[in-house]
Amino acid sequence: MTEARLFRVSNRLKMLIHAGGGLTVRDAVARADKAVEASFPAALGSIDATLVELEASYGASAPADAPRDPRRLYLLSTQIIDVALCLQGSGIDDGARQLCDLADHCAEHGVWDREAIAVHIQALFLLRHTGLEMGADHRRRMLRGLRQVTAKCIAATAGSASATG
Amino acid sequence: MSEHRPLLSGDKLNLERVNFLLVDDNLQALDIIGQAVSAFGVRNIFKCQSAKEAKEIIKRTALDFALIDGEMPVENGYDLVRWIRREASEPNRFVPVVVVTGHTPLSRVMQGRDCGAHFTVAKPVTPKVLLERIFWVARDERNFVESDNYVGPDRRFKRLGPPAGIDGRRKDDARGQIGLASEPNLSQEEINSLMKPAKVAL
Repeated sequence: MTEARLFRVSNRLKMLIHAGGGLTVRDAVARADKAVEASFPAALGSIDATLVELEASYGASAPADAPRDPRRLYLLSTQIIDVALCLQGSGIDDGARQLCDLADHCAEHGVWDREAIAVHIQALFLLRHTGLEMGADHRRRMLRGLRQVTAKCIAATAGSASATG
Repeated sequence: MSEHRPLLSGDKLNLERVNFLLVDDNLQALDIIGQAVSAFGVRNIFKCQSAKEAKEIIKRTALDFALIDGEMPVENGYDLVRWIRREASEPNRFVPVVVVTGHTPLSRVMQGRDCGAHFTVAKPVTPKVLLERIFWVARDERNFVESDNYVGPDRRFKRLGPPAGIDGRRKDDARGQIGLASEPNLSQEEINSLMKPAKVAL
């Protein structure tokens, strides 16, 4: 077993934030909520551009011989999550996380399920444009459907792995 | 670790003098979080789009908080935190760090824990959650651990103690004998009366 040293460190952050003055939590959060809204138009533009790239590269309308790049697919999905605050409540961040799961699986196992990926991308478009108006049940069903699509892909990979033994 | 009470809306926080490091390769994400942090009252915000840029700031500025994106190209946030914990000079070596990540499978959350960060937060980060985490980290009283394969806050959140009858390895653990009953044991009749099913009048 390695030797471990335990020691206290001073917490300057604690001392600073309780130095007196400042904002109430209520005011700080209200100000911040308003401030981040200024970034929302650009964030929405970024999500739209990412969705277009996803569809063109990996969606149903992508050429059959388009390069398969799970790492890039993963990166594009995380780009959506990064700025999804502008669509809070739409479920698009959850949908993008599902696509991250699928991309991770593809990268790890050297597989590529074009249909599963296309379904996820289509779902992201739906969530972007109707997610906020969609009922919570409908959104949950959609996300559950995406999980099932990924689970099917994973099962297929496991099945072919055990067949080749 | 001390008991944490929740952050109340009337609580006051003064972040004006906090030196705040933000690291994210996504410029828009950096902008959004930067807007929130600025609105909290922070005046000294250091924004970096790469681990390389962040290291330059860390080498020359004493920081009080760092919010670092886990997934970045070339050098990711987890490696940056590991570098901070091992290579940065004091006090930055011990700076409170929160890792943010869009994809949160267990493996990534554990990466955040094991690289030496204080906490991992899922993106997209709302201002409310961000402020709660800053407050939480400010009250964190965990010891720091330094060993061959880990440097960072003590990862043991739960202090359940050793199993009864076994002496703990930490010097402040209770002795094994203290695990014995401190009040009289129940007699068998008393136990039976507790276990006996009874009809309840509804």
